[in-house]
Amino acid sequence: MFRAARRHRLEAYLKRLYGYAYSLTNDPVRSEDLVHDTAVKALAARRVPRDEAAYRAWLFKILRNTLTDQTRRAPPRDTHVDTSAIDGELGSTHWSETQEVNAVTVRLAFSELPGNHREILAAIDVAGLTYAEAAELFDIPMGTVMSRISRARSALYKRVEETHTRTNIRVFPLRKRRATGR
Amino acid sequence: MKDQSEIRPETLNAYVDGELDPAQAARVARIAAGNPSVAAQIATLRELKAAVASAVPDREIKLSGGGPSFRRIMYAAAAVVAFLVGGAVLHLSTFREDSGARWARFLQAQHADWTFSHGSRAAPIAPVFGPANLLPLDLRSARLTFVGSETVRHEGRAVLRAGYEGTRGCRVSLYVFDSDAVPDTTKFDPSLRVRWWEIGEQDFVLLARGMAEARFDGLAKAIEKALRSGYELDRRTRQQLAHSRRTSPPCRA
Repeated sequence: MFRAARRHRLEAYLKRLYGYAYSLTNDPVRSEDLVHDTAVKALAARRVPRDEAAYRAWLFKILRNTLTDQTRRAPPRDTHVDTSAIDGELGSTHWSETQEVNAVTVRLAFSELPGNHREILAAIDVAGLTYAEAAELFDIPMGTVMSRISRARSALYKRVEETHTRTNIRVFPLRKRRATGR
Repeated sequence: MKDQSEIRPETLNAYVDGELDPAQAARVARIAAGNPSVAAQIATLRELKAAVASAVPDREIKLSGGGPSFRRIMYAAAAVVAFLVGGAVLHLSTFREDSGARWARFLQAQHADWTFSHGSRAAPIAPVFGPANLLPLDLRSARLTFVGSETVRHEGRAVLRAGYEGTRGCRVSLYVFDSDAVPDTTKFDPSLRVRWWEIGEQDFVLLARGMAEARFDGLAKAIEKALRSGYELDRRTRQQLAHSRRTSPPCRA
């Protein structure tokens, strides 16, 4: 009964955990494995946070630590890039009022972001964590969460601009299929 | 009226994320109401947030079993069974051929199962690495419209498919995947036009049923060239594709 209650509580977060894992790995199979491994650890834990926000952060921390352990054993395809120099340039982002934000372009740009930017965006936008929960997850002050998310979105915006320029492809908006028979 | 420079980027992002207290949020809203530049930045941040949130494919995850990773256990069990049933030694070339044939059958079946439902909006392509990050390619010069994408799995590998439709019955699938096995192009149905190539670690397969051979060859070369170069089709290529389409018969379904 107790175990069933634990599973039920955990199942409410599986989708978000998967989303977070996928954002970091871009690998559906690996992401599923991470979620399953996280679930196993969470269900086996002796102590589980009672507070829901703490519980949420705890789950994502388990997943993140599991991914970190795996990454240490097998280096990732995209190497973590020190963005401290780049970040310094982002304070003066010029936000164009006319730059089209195309969802597909954003996804392309997101996949090319350095790991630390992807991670904070994954936590806030994909996993839906609050700033406080993200601070708990990354073990950083909330002010740092605020500055990181700001820099990450600024970097993402610049990548979106670069994607338009570099590929010379206007990734056209999604459109409906035309009727057949013409 | 306070200008944009008095709102720090962190504050704008926190506003978009719903992290400001009511008084702070109200202040930002007042400023945005009187400052189009601030309002535009907030709108852009919201769009970025929404686009990132939707970048992850929707997936139903269910817990199964209570022990170590269920998937790994199943893979391990399947490997043991395959070893016992298949014999002690598998000739490497035989293995490759079988795998290539399986890939061919899988891709062909996927193409036949045209899952891009009529009237629906084309689904976005999830972020991919490498040359395939150019997808979806613009093939309108060949009178082929991008109608959707899907990601499926085969033999543990993620396979991305981009679907295109013509106005005269042509259906074209462009697959992207990373596999050790090369699809055996001789195992495809003769009515299918097939082209395979690899760029770096990625494999690409183009499939079309009933398309004129010359037209398909030109299309395949153009797509491969674009993906290798990292740039969209140039003007000359677009003209060639348009000409080929005009002078080719409709696709035979």
